[in-house]
Amino acid sequence: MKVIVILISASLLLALIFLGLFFTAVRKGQFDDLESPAMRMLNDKPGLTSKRKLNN
Amino acid sequence: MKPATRHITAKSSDVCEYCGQTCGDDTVLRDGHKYCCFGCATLDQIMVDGKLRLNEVPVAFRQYDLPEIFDKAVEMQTATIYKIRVHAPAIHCSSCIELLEDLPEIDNRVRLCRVNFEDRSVEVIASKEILLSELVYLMDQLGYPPHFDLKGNQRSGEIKEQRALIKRLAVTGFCFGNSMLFSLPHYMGLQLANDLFFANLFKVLNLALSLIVLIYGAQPYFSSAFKAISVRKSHINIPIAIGAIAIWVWSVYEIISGTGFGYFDSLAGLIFFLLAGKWFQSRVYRKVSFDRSLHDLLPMTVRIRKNNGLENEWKSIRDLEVGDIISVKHGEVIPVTGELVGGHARIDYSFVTGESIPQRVNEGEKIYIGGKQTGGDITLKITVKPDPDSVWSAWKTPKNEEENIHWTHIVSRYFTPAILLIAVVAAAIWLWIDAGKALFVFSSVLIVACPCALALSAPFTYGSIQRYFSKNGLYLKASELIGKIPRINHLVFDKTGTLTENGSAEVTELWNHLDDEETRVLKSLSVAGNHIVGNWMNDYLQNTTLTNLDKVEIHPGLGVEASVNGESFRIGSANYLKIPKPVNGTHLLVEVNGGVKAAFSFANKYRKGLTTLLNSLGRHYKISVLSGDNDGERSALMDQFGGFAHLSFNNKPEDKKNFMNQLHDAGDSVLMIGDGLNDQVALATSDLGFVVTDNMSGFYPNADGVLMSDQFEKLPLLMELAAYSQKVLRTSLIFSVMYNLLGISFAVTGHLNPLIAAVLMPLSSITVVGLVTALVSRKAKQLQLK
Repeated sequence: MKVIVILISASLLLALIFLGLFFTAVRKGQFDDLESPAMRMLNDKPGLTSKRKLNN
Repeated sequence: MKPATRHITAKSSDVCEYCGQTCGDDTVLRDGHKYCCFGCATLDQIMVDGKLRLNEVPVAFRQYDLPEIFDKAVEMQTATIYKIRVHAPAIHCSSCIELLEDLPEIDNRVRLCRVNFEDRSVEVIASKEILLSELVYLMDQLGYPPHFDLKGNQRSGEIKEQRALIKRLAVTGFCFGNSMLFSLPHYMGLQLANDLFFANLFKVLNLALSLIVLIYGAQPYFSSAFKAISVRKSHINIPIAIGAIAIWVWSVYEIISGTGFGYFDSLAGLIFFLLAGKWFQSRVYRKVSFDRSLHDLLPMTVRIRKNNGLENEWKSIRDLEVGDIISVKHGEVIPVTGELVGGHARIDYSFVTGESIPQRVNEGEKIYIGGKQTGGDITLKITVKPDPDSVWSAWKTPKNEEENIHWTHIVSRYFTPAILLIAVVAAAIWLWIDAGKALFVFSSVLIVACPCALALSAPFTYGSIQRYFSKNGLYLKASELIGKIPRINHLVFDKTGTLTENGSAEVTELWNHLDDEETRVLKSLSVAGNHIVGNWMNDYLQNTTLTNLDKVEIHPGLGVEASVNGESFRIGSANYLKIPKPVNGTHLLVEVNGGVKAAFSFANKYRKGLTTLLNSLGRHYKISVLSGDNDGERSALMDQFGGFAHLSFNNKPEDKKNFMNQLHDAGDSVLMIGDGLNDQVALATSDLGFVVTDNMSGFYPNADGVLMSDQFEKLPLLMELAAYSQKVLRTSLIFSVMYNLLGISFAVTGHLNPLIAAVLMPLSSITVVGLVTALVSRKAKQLQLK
C-alpha cells in the first residue's frame, strides 16, 4: 500500500509542472484572447503575412 | 471626425465578395462589387491595386499630435517607436483581423499590429516617423476608427485583473479536485482511511491545499469584505468571508483534536464556484467601450490664419485668444463660438438642436460651437475665449446617481446577522442538552449557511440575459442595469432618427407633369444643390440618369436654377419661387419656363414595424414622444399609434430635461430612447437611457445602452426578457432559502458531517447556476430571440 505515497507525490509533481506551464501561458497572454487565433489561422495570403515580423 | 462606416451584419441573401460572410442591409458597394464591410472592400481593393491612397489628414485628427494628448494616448514610447492600445469596435470578422494586422504592409512605418478579437482592441507599435494623427486617420479610413482612453493605462490594468482571475480559478480548481480525491477514502469508508499513516497523510495534504485556497484563491473575497467592514457597509462578500474562515478554523480544530476529517473539500468547492461565477461574468461582455473621450468629437486644434490667409498655423484650443481668425473646412465641427468673417456658412446644428436641415449664417452673425459646417470653407473670428473644459459641460449633466444598491447586498445585510443569531441560539440550547457539542453546532451553522446561491444567482441571471441582449443588438454598459428595466413604466422616444429613419424621407408627388428628360434635369439639379432635400429627391429618383446642365446657379438654402437646351429650370421651396406654399412642412417645387410643373412633399419615414412595436409596448408602458422638429408630423405619428401619453414638438434639449423632471416628480420611472448627441441631456436625466443607432462605435456619453437600429423592432421582446429577470431571481432566492433551511436543520440538530457538506454545498451552487440559465434561455426561446 505504501506505493500510494509514491503515486501521490508523482501526481502532485506532475500537476505542479502543468500548473507552472499554465501560469507561463497566462503570463504570455495566451488566455487574453480566445477568439482571434482561430480566425488568424484562416487568413490565406502567404504573400502578405509571411513577411510580417511578429517579434519586435 | 468622420463617423465610422456602417459595419453591422444582418440578414440578407447577399454574400460578401471578399470574406464570404452574409452581407447586411449596410452592404458596401464599390466598383460593382459587394462587400459586407468597409474592411473587406478596402482589403479587396488593396489586393487589386497594391496600394491605398489617402488624403491630407483632417483637422479633427491633429489633436493627437499635441504633446499633452500624445503622451496620454500612447502606452509606451522610446526615442524611435511608440505603442498604442486602442478599442476598435468596428472589428467584426476575420477579414478585419487580417486587414488590421497587415497595417505594416500598407504603411511600412507601422511595425506591428495585433488584434484582440474578444474585446475588439488593437495593439499597434509604430515608428515615430508616422505621426499619431496619421496612424489614427489611416485606421479611420480603413473603417476602424480607434477609441483612446486618455485616462491612463486602464486597459493593461484590466488585462492584469483578468489574468489573475484565470490563475486563481485554475489553482482553486486544482485544489478542489485533489482535495475531493483525498477525502474520498474517508467518505467511502475504505480501509485506507483507517490506516493511521494514510489518514494523517491525507489530512496534512488537505490542510496544505486548503491553505493555498484560502490565501491565494479566496484573497479577493477577504479583501473586499474587509474593505466593506472598514467603511461599515454590508456586502455579499462578508458572509462569504465569515463562512470560509469558519470552515477552515473548525476543520483545523477537528484535525488537531483528532475528532474528525475537516471540511476542506467543501471550502475549496465553495471558492471554486464563486470564482467560476466571477469569470463567467467578466467574459460575457467586454466589447463596447462607452468611455470615449470628448476629444474624439471636438477638434482640440484649429487652423489659425496668418498673413491675411496666406499661411495657416496649427494651434491648441487652449492657446486661442479673442480676435484670432481660424478657418474651418467643409464637414468639420465648429470648435469655438465665433463670428463669421468669410465663406458660405451652412451650419448643421443637429448635434445641438436635433434639426436636421442646415442653417444659413450671414457674415457678421454668430456661429456656435458644436455645429458642423457643410458648405465649403469658412473663416471665423473668435469672440469668446474658449474654455475646452467647460465647453461640453452642458452635455455632461451627471446622471442622477441615487445609490444603486443591489438587492443581494440588501439580503446579505440581513443574512449575516440572522445566521449569527441562529448559531448563537442553537449553541445556547445545546449547552443545556450536551455542552460538549455546543461549539460543534455553532460552527456547523456558520459552515453550512452559505450565501453562494445568492451570490451566484444575480451575476448568472443578468449575465445570460445580457448575452441574449448583445446577440439581439442591445449593448448595455453594465449587466446590473438589467435590474433597473423591470421598474420602468414610462417610455419616452425622441422622434427624429429614433422613430424615423435617418437619411431618408417619404416622398409624395403632389402633382407631377414632368417628362423623362425634365425628370433627368430635376435629378441633376437636386444633386447640384447639395442640400438635404435634394439628397432625398435624388434617392427618390434613383432609377433616373443624370444629364448636363448649363449655367447652374445655387442659392444656398433656397434652391437651384439652371438652363438646359434653352429651357430655364428652377427648383426649390415656395419661398424661393415666390408662390404660395402647396403644403405645410418640407416640400420641393419644380418650375420649367416659368410654370410650376411638379411639386413634392417630404415626410419622415417611420421605421419598419413601428405600429406593431408601439402597440405591443403600449400594453405595458406609458409612451411619450418628444421631438425637436415642428408639429407637421403630428397626425402621421398618431396614425402609427393612438395611445400616446404625451406628444410634444419644437422641444429644445432643456425642454426635454424639464419634461423628464416632471415625470420624475409624478413618480414615473423613465426609459429614454434617443438617437445620440442631441438627446444627451434627456438621456442623462432619465432613469435609463438607450441610444438607437447603426453605428456601434459612435459617441454616447450619457447612454446606458446602445440599440442597433436594425434590431429596433425587437425592443418589446428584450424589455420582456429583462422584466422576466425578477421572476428568475425570486425563484433562485426561494431555492437558496430552502437550501439554507435544509443545511441549517442538519447543523442545529448536530448532524452535519463533512460528507453532507461536501454534497450539499456544490450541489446548491450548481443547481442555482443551472436553474437561472435554463429559465432565461427557455424564456428567450419563447420570445423567439436569437
